[in-house]
Amino acid sequence: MNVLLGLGGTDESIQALEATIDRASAVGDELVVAILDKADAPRSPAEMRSETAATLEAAGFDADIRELEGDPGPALVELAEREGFDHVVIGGGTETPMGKIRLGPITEFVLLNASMPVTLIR
Amino acid sequence: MNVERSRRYPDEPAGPFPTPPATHTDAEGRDLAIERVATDGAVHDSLTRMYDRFNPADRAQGIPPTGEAQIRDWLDPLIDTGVNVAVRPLEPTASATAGQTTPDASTPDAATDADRNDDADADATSADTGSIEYVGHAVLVPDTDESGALDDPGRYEWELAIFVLQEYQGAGVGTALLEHLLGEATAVGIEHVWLTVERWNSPAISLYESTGFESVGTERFDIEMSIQLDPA
Repeated sequence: MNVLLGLGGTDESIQALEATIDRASAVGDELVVAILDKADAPRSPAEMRSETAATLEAAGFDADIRELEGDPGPALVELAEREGFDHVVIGGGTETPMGKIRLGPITEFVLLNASMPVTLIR
Repeated sequence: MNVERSRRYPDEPAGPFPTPPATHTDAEGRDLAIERVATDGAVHDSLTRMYDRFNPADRAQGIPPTGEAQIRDWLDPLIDTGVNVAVRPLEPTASATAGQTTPDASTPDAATDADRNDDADADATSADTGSIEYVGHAVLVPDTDESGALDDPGRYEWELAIFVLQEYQGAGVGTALLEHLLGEATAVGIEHVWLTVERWNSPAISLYESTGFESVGTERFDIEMSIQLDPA
């Protein structure tokens, strides 16, 4: 399958990247990693790109890395539709001090608007 | 002191609210005790048992977790660092006989994030009639990892959660428990309380609104609500 992974620059993104590499290696998926321009993320797109490249190299897995500009949810879904990806993967979900899981607007947009299956890693 | 808040709060403070300990007779005539919970082992055990009775299908946003060990891992820090108020029948054996489940969890007082109790069964009837059997729990935790938030509670924003077992829903128990938690919060100097609730959980949203919470964030799957307490 052709898998598109969207990364927003948070710690959850790194977890999602590692889990997606493991999965893609195991089943022979082709992977494209899209770096999203998430304004309040702790890592800039440039930092996220270099961290992604390093993680891929450490895992010995080859994948294209692309940076997407604009509103992250729509940009990711648009790319997935335009290039006919089979599957979209996103990381998401933060915990409140109480331990409640919260899903953000990017996650919601992708889940509701992508026409292909979406995997949420949290 | 002017501390930057991470979310909006209503301009008008709410209150006053009643403080625990208190007794409360619910709409079905059951006499209940509403009290602060101590941080001793028996209380941890009782609340763990209560959460273990929740139907997994009625969890909200991942809490309470399922499994006794997971419940303890989640609950212990809440009890140790938070402000906790719980409710129990005055006569311990009364709760065990109230085994018939209330089918309408949709009345406003059904409140609460989660909580059915399809398997309220024999183990709710503790053979040890002296043990505490809580049927509802409400808690506030500070939005900091540092200890000692209670030394300066006004500095922090406190997240609220409340759970009531199904057979005690729809009888005003959630309202009474929530009001007494806010009374306790006011008494210890907490001023800013917030929560998140799933958009479709209208019984809980009605409870929070009737108590004085206002919606301040609706851009997610959950709604964020907040209340400002009148300093005592």
